[in-house]
Amino acid sequence: MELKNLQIGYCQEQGTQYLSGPLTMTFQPGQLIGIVGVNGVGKSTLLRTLSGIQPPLAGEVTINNAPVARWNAKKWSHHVSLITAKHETPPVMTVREIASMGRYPHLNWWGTLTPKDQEIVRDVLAYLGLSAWADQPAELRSDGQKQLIHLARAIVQQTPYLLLDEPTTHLDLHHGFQLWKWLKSIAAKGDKTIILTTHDIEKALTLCDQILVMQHEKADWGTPNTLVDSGIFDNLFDSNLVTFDPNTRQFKMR
Amino acid sequence: MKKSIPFGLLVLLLVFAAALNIGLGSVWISPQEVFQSLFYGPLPDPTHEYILWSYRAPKTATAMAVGAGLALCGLLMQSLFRNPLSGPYVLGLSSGASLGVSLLILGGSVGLPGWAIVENTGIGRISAAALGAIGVLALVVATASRVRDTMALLLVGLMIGSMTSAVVSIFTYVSDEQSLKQYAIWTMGQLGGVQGPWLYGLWILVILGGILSIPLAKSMNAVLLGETTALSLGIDLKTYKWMVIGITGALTGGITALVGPIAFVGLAVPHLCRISLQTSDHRVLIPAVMIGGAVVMLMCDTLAQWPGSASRLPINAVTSLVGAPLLIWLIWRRKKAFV
Repeated sequence: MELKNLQIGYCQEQGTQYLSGPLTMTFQPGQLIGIVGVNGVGKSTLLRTLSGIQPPLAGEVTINNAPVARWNAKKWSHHVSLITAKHETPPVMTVREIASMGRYPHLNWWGTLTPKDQEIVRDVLAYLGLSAWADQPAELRSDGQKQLIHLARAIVQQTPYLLLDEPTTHLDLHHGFQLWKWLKSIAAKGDKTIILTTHDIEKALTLCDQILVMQHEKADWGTPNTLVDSGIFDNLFDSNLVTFDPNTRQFKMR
Repeated sequence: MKKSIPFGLLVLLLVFAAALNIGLGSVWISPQEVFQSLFYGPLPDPTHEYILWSYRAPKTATAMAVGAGLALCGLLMQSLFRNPLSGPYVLGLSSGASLGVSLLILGGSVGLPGWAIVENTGIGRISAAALGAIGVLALVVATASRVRDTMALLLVGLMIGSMTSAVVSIFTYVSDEQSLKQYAIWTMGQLGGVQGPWLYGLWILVILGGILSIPLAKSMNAVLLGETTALSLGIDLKTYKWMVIGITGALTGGITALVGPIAFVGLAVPHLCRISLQTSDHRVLIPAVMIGGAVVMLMCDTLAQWPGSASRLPINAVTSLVGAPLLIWLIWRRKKAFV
């Protein structure tokens, strides 16, 4: 996936709202990519744009050198899967039923799961350790497991790109680490690019291969090391309140 | 398939409810008699033959189509608006129909110019209701193409509803007693008056609505996960939205024009089916609510014409009186409702 001078934002009655950018970068397979930045800087909007939900204001996105501007939802769904920040877990639906919905792009109009589809769902549920609850209502699971159920849904979609909007925000320390571990290991298999937004910059610095730091005026893109060396994190937040220690790679309250 | 047992039960219930509905009334007409008249020619008793084909059968057929159609619309609206309180009337279509009919019945009595030309007959009422519903549907479609937010559509529907009921209440305030009673009776629903081509038309409309809804099941399932997620799963939301509005508009408009605004069935039957079948899968729910709607409507109509009582109860009163406690009881048992 390649971004060329991509400008994201909204068209509103009051005029066009430009968000951070323009962005030019290439996402490589097998990488875990973190998008960080303050609230309202456009992280979610970028994910919406990169999954075809919302058109860009300017610039271009290409996937496998093909421009995506005229893709419909069906075409997008074969390339990019998305887990939104506010995803829903409908009542009485089982874990397996929700995960199976990830197969929708590959199914016929009636949504018939072939034995092969069922096998894919079964394997992914087993991989994520969800098999024990597969046929129980998903709403009864904890928030951490719900996040995993939606991750399963996105994995069975079998897209080269997996986008997650703040997947760890509502999780406790244990489940947060668990999710990071899963994402890291899925990316390490090498066939997927995982792009996620997060407020946990410290974890992103240790675990992500590349990081996009979005600010209102500009956006910086690079490996954790180059970004730390560039000193960008020193001034990311109000320096009277928060400072960044490049050695421990941690934020400290002043 | 584990859903097949309750499904068979539902069909059995439909046959039973239809037999009961056709049989009960001022005289008892047994299923054998219906069978005989259908396949072996007229019954020995011409009164029975006459009652069966001119009164009972059309009413039973109307009840089935109305129940199935309204329940389907309720399911579609609850899916589109992702709101358990949605029913077939949230788009304001019944308000439009009511406005049309109130203009016809009440407008004449307050001396609105031109209204004397339109005769206040069954067909006149049907046309007035249809025109009112179509007018509102046009407004809804125009709104839907302008605003992208589905919730805004819900709000517009509600606003249209309160606007038209305001106009209707002005009419009721100034019109004479007799027209007022006529209008009040129309709002209570009439299943008995649909005959011949109107009845065929109603059935074709409902069956067509059902057939067109079936390909939407996959989209309706995906939308349960939220619109954005549905989009990312490759669902063509625009087509889904327009199909839902189109089907609901035609069905609710047509049904309301023919039998008046029937309360409750459209809102509650989808919930009854979801709770009793324990599923959110619309591939099961679409046929289930259509059969379930027909069953509920038949049962309510059977109660409304309870044998031994000389007068009929208004169908709207029965649908609410029977259905509402039933739904409350199911919610109590399951401790929750869901979309």
